[in-house]
Amino acid sequence: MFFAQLFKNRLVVLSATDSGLFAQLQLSDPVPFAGPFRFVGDAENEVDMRLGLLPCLCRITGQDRIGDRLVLFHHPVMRAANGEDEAAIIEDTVAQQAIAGPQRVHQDDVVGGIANSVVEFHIGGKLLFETAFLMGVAHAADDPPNHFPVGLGGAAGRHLGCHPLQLAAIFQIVPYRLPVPTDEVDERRGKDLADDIGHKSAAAMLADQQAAGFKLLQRLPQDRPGNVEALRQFPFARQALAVAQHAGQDQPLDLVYDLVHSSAMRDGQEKFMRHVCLLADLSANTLIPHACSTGKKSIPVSRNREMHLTEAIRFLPPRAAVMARRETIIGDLADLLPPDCLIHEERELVPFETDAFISYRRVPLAVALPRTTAQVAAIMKYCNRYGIPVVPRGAGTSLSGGAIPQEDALVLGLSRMSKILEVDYANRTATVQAGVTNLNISEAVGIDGFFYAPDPSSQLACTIGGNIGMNSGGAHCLKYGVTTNNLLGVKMVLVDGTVIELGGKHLDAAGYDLLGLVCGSEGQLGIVTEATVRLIAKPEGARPVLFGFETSEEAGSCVSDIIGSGIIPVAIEFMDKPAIEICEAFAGAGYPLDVGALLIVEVEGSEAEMDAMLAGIVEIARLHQVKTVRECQSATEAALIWKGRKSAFGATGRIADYICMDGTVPLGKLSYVLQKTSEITDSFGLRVANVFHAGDGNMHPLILFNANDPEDAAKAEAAGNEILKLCVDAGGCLTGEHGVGIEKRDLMRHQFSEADLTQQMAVRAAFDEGWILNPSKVFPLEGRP
Amino acid sequence: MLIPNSEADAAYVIRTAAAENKTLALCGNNTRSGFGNAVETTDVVSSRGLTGIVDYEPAEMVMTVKAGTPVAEVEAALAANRQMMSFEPMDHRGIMGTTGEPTIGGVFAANVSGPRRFVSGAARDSLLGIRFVNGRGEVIRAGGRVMKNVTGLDLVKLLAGSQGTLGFLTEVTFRVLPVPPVVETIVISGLWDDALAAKAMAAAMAMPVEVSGAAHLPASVIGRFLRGSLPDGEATVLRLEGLAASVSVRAEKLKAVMEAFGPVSRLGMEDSQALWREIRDVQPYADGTERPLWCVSVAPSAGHQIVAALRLEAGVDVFYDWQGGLIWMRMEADPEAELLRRYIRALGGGHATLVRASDTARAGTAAFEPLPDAVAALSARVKQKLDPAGIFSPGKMAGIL
Ligand SMILES: Cc1cc2nc3c(=O)[nH]c(=O)nc-3n(C[C@H](O)[C@H](O)[C@H](O)COP(=O)(O)OP(=O)(O)OC[C@H]3O[C@@H](n4cnc5c(N)ncnc54)[C@H](O)[C@@H]3O)c2cc1C
Repeated sequence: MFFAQLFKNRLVVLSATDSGLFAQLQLSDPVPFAGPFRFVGDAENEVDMRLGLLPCLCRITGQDRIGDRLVLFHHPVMRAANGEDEAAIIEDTVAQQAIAGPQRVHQDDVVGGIANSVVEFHIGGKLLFETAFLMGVAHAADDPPNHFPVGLGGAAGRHLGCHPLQLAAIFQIVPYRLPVPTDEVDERRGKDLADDIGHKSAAAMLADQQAAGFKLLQRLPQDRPGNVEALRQFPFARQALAVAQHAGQDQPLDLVYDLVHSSAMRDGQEKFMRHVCLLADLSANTLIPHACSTGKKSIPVSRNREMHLTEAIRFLPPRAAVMARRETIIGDLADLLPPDCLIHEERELVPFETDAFISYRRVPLAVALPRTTAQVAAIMKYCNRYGIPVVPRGAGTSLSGGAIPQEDALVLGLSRMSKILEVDYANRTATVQAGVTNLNISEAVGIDGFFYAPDPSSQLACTIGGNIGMNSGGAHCLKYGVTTNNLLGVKMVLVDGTVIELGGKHLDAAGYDLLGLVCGSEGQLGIVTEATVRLIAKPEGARPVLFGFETSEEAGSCVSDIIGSGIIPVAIEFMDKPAIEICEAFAGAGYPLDVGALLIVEVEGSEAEMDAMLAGIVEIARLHQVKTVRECQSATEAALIWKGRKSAFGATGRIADYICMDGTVPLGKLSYVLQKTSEITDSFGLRVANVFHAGDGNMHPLILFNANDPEDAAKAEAAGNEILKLCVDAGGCLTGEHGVGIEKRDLMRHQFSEADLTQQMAVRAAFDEGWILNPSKVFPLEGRP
Repeated sequence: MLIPNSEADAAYVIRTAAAENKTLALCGNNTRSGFGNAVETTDVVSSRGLTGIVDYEPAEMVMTVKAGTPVAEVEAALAANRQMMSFEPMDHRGIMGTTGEPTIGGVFAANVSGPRRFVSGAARDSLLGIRFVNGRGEVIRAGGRVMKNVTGLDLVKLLAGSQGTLGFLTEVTFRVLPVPPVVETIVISGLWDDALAAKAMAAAMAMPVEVSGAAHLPASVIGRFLRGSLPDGEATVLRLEGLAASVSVRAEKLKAVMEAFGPVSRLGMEDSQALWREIRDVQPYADGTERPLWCVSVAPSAGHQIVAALRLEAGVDVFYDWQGGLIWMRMEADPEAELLRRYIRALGGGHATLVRASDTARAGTAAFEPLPDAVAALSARVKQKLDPAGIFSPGKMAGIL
């Protein structure tokens, strides 16, 4: 009945008391959430999940936080979606059989779960609350390509003891199936369900919404004035709450059942789901890919990429010799690895079929999840000998398709090599295995006052191996540089299985800077199995200031002058008028609406230092006819300044679908490129909003369009390509941090001459003559040697 | 010496040499002529004909310069806008006894950095884009003008520090930073035990005070700095830079902690600037001799251990930069390469580069740290892809490199 419920309601609420499932599984105490997983935003917006509880379906095994315990969360869902026998699934689950895979249970799973209409909560409510907050009102969350959703304070979650369902209601955590017109089955199901339960919800609507709503609101921590305000903006939340109150708590599942399908809520659902889709863009791919790929054209989580389903980007054709020997190869590989380290069954391969560039999928030949460098070496030696392509994979969060496999490839996942091997404060280094997540490093050393500087928004999930693959950046890179500037050494396995070490705890190379070459090479030069990175002493504090300017030009030249003055802020964020309007309408952060552009500048240091730096910055801004200056005296005010910015991508997602570009331009060209960008989108009849890190010229124009309209989608993609070319022509490049992957591969000739590309490919050949490593990526397929 | 006046010329010269099986040494103005293993080549190509600032927008903080442009010209242009190369390229003329004007191409080709390197990155970290001529005589462009760029393989890093053995740089584009308005130095005196100095420096780096220089100057070299005006004995020096208000706050904090190690004094702006320039240029060993001089890069905590071990077996004089991880080491007699490199390997790895020695000593010593076989083989393959015929100073770096 559990799965029946699941697919009828598309919502699962699990708890030890309310759901028959746990009783049936006879799980006693819920397993404490063991990992240091956090939703991280700015210092204010942090949700610490350590005190939360994991859904009991998850198995936790000692140190290994990546491999084993993951899929039990969503795997059953996947299997159920495949129509597998329910009893068998439950049996497997009870037996807690490890089902290996690349993901871990973290916020993305939850987010992804929601996106796929499956919500799994523990009755404790903490996880739920955090998820709810994350997804709902104050989620201050933002864009899939660039930012993880950000929840509000963990403290709030801990203090809050309301019923999960109430929370679910209030925060609009409701299941919803995106109405994709072609999906007839689903439409029919929707109708049935509506008939079924319509009367109940109608009655519920009559309840006193206002009063009930406020009762709950009052229980939210009062130190966040924005909360209540924000909640008020959601009539849907109030209705939902009313339903909850009316129905009481006897039949929680029915209640939600009602909620979901009441026609009065359609509108809210629609908005909500749009938002979820965007938020989930990242994770849905890795979470329940099946739900996406089996449903024919129904792709609930990737609307903004739907157009790519035209398969405009080609992969190399599978090598016939490899495909023909599939069984032998799997047998041989199995001999090279411990028993649980090779995945080859179709249904278990599916989670690896794509990365965060989810519009393209290829089920690989097999997946190896080695635990040691020696195992990696053995695999490489074998694959090289038989010409089997290998696609290295970290967490699979690449936004450019860098980790998407191909049919004839072995995915070499590093996720099980996730140990921090050594932290050395005297030398300010950490030596870690490649599968360690970016955030894990900072978490491990944070308590001692250090951090690892490059902080991609995906830092909760992405691995250091993947960061090296993509030379990832982050919000702090204006001051601290990107991965390559913070990487001291790697241990890596070459294509023939040779293990080499480059760099170490010392600086600079003895010979050629191969380390520099490997960083950003997108898995084409070898498999990184260990890395030594630089640690930095954590600054004492950080504080933002907000400026509004008449024009983008003024804002742009203010950026140059700030940087030129000798003050190095940690972040300079830019928003243009459309972006300000979208964010303000959504987040109500009090942004000035009478300005043409807005900057948020953040500095670091002690109080006295920050005072001095901010004073200097304000002075510079005044020279640029700044119209609005908002400094902050408290953490709350600081949070408010960031709030709009942080919700930018989510807010944009509420009003339209969008694609996000990643071109970088010289600072002096910012205004010019902004101007041209809007001319380009105008000429396509599209709108554009700009929100980006101005300090380093890495632009992220969001092109707004309607994904349900194929023509519009095609236009958006064409406009995107134009914008990338514009960036290159302005002296910039195609990609500042997301990598080339397959996404921008075919645009490479716009940036590089034939000779340039040939030279790069020649150097690539010094590492991998036979194009074994991640061969479909980076270099255009035509004209390869 | 061949002095092409344009990139096209350079490409022609190199193409011709390749066709005629000639080998070429690539140089700017040869102020670092002592770098690497001595190799005989048929001819020498200098970038000195390729000069001039191509593009410099101070507001963009990026500069594009032809490779043969004198560093002095670049620095003057930057100084006029209160900007600088944050990696503080050292000037090798003093220690190498060379003359002439160092070129900007030479700085990047040799990846030359200074005291700020350990926090702000090396020359290679500032280098954003290059144009170069490969061993086939083809003009190649890599990187660009922007700080964030993951488009394709990073050939920029590969060419930086390749010592003119992979390609002839014709143009470089690099990031610059504003000159910090205030510089101050905290001096801890009397740490005669290098190990203790290393501890003090590590403690300073663990504080959120943004130390931008950390050097230890033992008693033997102290008289060579600031015209002998530093007090006798050892000086462990920590540099703070930035806005005046910020520097003074940080200085107080740092001082408070450092007082646990020894008596603390402070150097003001002018002395600080002079001192760090002298440290950068390895002033104590700009001694007009040919005594073997090593530049050793190891983990900061290993530096003093290597020195202590060596001292038992050889006459060495040293001072430390980069929190102790960079050792400038002058041997009193032989280079002692074997011994030195053995200790480096034993104490966690790193590399020793012989930057100066008599011709005979150089002939018998690998100038660059020998690479492990697999890395050497890989490097050789890389070289072969850029310089297939091996015309650029073959053997300068090691083996065929
Ligand atoms: C929501 C979201 C926000 C993001 N924000 C940012 C951001 O702010 N800044 C930013 O720079 N990026 C960002 N990204 C992009 C992405 O997270 C980074 O590119 C990240 O570094 C990828 O890490 P990964 O472990 O997921 O690697 P994967 O996606 O698995 O792989 C990335 C590439 O590296 C290769 N690779 C992986 N591991 C290894 C290894 N051990 N050895 C050799 N090659 C390997 C792969 O083959 C692939 O080409 C974001 C992505 C998402 C989904």
